[in-house]
Amino acid sequence: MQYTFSRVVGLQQRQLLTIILENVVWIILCIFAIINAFVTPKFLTLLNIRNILINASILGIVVIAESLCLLSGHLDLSVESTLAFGAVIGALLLRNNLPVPIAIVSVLLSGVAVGFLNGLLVRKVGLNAFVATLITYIGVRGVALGIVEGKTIWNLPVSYCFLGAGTLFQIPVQILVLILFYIFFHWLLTSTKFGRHVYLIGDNPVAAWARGVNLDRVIISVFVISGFLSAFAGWMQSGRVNSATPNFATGMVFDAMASAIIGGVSLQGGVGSLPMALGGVLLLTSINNVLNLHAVSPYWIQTIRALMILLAVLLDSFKRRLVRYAG
Amino acid sequence: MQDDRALLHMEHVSKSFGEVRALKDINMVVYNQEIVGLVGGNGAGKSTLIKIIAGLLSPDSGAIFFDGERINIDNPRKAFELGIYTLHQRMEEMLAPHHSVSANIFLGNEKTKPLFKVLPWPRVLDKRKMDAYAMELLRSLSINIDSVKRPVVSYSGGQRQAVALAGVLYRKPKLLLLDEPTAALGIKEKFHLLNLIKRIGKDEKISIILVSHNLEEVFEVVDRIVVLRNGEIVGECRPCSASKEEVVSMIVGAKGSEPYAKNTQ
Repeated sequence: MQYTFSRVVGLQQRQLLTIILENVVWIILCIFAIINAFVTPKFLTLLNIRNILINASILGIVVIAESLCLLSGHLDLSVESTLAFGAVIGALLLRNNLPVPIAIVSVLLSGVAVGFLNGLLVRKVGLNAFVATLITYIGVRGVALGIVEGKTIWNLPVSYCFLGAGTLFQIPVQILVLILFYIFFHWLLTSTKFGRHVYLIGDNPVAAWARGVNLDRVIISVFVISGFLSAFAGWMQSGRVNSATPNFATGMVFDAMASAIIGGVSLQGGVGSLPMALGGVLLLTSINNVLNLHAVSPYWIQTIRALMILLAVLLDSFKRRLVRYAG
Repeated sequence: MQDDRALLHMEHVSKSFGEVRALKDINMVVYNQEIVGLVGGNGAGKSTLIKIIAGLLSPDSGAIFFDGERINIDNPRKAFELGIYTLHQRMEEMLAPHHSVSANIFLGNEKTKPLFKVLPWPRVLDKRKMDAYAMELLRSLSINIDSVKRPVVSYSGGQRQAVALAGVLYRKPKLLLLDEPTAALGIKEKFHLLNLIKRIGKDEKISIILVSHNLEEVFEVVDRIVVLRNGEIVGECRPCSASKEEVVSMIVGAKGSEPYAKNTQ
């Protein structure tokens, strides 16, 4: 079948097809937006687009964290727990009258600590990334629940909430941060030695190791960045709702993985890119948005999401087969 | 062709895996600019020996001297620092399939340039320079690759093996370890790669250890043959002064192999 396929379609056409498949998320997103501009009232309004972007911002940052791990060939289940943990730590310190900068630094450091722990469990203890981050996924949320005894902390200082609720030139800060983070981390992944090593380790860890790449350093760094970004998202979330609870972002890790996969980031590592993952985030968020605007029962949203992931995975395997011929 | 100073010298090297004694008291010398063929049957210890030299395994006992200094190679990076590079039998395992030819050639040794010319940091990948260098390198080795930007999966087995070889040569090795480099190749590709090995041994002035099952190709390429059997060196000879039958009898351990070994000392 592959043989006939390669004969029927010429090289030029196959290369074009590859380019289309590489960017398939954005194409689907555009088609989705155009259709809904007609069928969904209020979809293509500035206010609604702003809404979609705000809803996408926290998930978007967690997806950077998850994609970094996936690209290096590792799963990180602990992102959502780290998010809640960071939020709770920050709120608790502020409640105890510590200054805002110290609270912010502590939030970010708590994320770095969880990431470092993940990295150590994977590289130094030798656990599988799934198992290691399953431990922190359960344990870190457990600690978050424990330190505030399950309570919600309200009323955080305005300056602390600026990141999640403030605006700059009438644009919500979270949207600006989302865009900046995507630009920066995409640059980090594609233009630096570190980023290239993340990709190469994901593609073939044995090759990277045999050629002298320091796996420990790169992979632990990836987990640390992942933890940092998750805690950062926790700060943003608590700013947005002006409170912090250990139940923040329950189940978000699955949305994050779904977005990354829809965007074409391979679970096997080494394949995919952040702009595509952002496309996945926006597509997922817009679908939720449209279902809300049409007042579809929220009980059906999961089913629709599952079908999307299935479609994305099928497209991905088709793409892989094609790359062998066109590249 | 070769000079008489020893580049690699192994003394009483042994290695066991649990009950299995993979290498027993190995004493071996590789001279500068010499191509040594390492032959033996399955389980003779060829790959173990190569892995020890490459730093992928540590010996249980014995000493290794490289360039006259006693060394302890316990990871691949240390081997690279010394100038010891390996090309493995299954090249698929040693390339990142979804990345470009250029990325694979420079794997672990990427060229960078400063992001802002006036500042030493941060540094970014110099992709243009790497692509150009990779293309030039492949051309100088007469390896037929049309674009260094295409992913490795889109090339054939022989081309991939050549890419892996180019990636190693780029680092200017002193000692090159080739672990059955032609095992997965077709006849034409095999011929091309053997010529390449022979040529680089002369042109680049490096020592090569070639591990192979295939006596034809060993006789074709090497200066000296070392025969391993059950983890021991049972003999060595020069291709010009020994016949294939003699080497085969040493490999399988047929009677009368010992005199041949002595004759060729």
